[in-house]
Amino acid sequence: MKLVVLVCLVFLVSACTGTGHKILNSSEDYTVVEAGSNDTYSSLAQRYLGDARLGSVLARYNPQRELEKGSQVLIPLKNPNPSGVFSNGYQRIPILCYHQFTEHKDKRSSMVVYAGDFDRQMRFLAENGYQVIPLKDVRPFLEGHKPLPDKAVAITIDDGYRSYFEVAYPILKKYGFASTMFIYPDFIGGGVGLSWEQVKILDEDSLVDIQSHSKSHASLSPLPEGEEAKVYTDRLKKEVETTDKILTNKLGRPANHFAYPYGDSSQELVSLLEQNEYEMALTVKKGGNPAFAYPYLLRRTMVYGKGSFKTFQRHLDVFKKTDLK
Amino acid sequence: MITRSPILLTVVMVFYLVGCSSNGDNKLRYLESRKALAAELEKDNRLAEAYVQWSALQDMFPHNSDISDKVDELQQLIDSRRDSILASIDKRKTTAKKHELQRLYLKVLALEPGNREAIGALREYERGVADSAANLKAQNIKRVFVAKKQKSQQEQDKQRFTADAGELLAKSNFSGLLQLVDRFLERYPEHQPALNYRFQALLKMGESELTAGQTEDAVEFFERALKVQSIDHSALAQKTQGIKKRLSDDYFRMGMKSFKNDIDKAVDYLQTSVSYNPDNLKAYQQLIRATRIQQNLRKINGHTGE
Repeated sequence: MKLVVLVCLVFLVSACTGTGHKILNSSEDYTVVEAGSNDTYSSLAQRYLGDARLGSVLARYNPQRELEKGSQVLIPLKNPNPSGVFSNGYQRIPILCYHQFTEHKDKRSSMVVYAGDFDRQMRFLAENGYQVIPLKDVRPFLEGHKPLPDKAVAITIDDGYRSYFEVAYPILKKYGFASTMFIYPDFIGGGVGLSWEQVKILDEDSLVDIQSHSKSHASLSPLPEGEEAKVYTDRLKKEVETTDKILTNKLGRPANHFAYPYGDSSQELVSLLEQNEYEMALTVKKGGNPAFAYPYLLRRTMVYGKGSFKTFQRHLDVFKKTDLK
Repeated sequence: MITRSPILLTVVMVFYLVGCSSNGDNKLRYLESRKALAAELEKDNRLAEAYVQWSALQDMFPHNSDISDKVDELQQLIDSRRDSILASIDKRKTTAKKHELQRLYLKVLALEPGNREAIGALREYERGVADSAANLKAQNIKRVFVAKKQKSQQEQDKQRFTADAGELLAKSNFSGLLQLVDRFLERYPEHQPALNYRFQALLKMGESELTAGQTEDAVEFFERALKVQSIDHSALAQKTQGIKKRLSDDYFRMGMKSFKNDIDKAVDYLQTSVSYNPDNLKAYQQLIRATRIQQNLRKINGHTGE
């Protein structure tokens, strides 16, 4: 008798009174749930899409802004909008680019960002609904496989200055923000560059991704005084493939993202990166990237140490409004 | 135990059915609210978003023919609008501007966000823009490089010129200096140090002629020196003016001397005197007088000759 009562209670609880959500329908394409008292879009996105940051994506398909117990939520399990284009415009992902950092305000310059300014910028992102995503999430967005959260931003740092480790990294960790550091091996282990030990420590942190910025940081456009095709190709190969060998040796894996030194690219270099199974390559042409951006010539916006806070806000180009009805 | 107690089994079933019917009610509530939402989205021309709502309802109620009909109807509307835009793109492909085509493809995606043709076309467009930017940058780098190289070559030329000119000046080889300067000025006509050297060379050569008593040759050099631009000529102009006045007086005297014996020579001398100093009134009056005599003599000679 006691067992029967217990079974009845379980049914009752599962049907009516749970603090967790109740599934109304479930298929390959969609799940529909009734929210429990503790549910948020983020918790449902974590549960069904494997990424809490995609809460804003769920909100797109549901009329209610805030969930309450009993709110009915449609969860598209496949990306219903592979291009990120909507009737009122299209989504873009800005990729920010930093170089050096300093803890001394008087030492900031165009390429050196003061720690206080950097902290203010990161705080602005955290407090204003921006979602800092790892750069690796951009490729599935470009392929239409995975949506990006609204107001998604990626952070990259070029060259491999030690000041990243000492100044920027602790700030990024404080906010739980992912970043990608593009290093060039010739710079590592000397002067103001990171040591390989520091690179390894960073690489072990899931919030940090170490990627390639060539071997020597030479411009990879054809030499302006002219350069034979074979000589040029060999030069490119050395810059790309040697870096991969070094990274494999030091970190146990090659790179799959590339930042063009000085933003200088060429069709030959793009082909070489494709051959070497790179997934994305980044310029320094400013602006956000739509889902239909070309993956080997992505835009990236430099954040200068002497730029104003308003300029930083303008860089956050997350959505291009335009009437497409 | 359950099978042995029909009452208890009934209780369990009741609980279960309560749970199920509550689920069914919730589904109906979902159906009604989402139908309203989809209709609102459709009315607002947000067809792709309306389609997601209908499609999810069809997923939940696969046997509901009203929903299936609505999904088909919406799909047809989207297809028809998409095809109309794609036809417009085909028609205007060669004449429309790139950004106009880009906008049309975006409209296709607003209707059908996974449309591969539109995504492909827009990606090509993005690639083209990025490639052009990269090429433009490479060209600019090349232009800057060439300009830098030219500047560096010019710097080298100028340094070499300054060294060579200084050496010739130190050796007082003014004709050599003048040749060097003239060659250099053909390539760098505005180069101020070269203009200074030219002035200096002509001045020194004129002074040398003056010292040698070749006053007229000296004047010629001085006058060439006076034509060198961007130089303060005032001292030399004064000096040359003085020399020319003296030359004018000399030629006036020679003209007057020849007046009685050789009127043609007298006219030449007086003309030269006036050319050196157009303000030499005496020379000018005598030149008029001499020219008149010369003409009269020619008339007489011509008459006799007849």
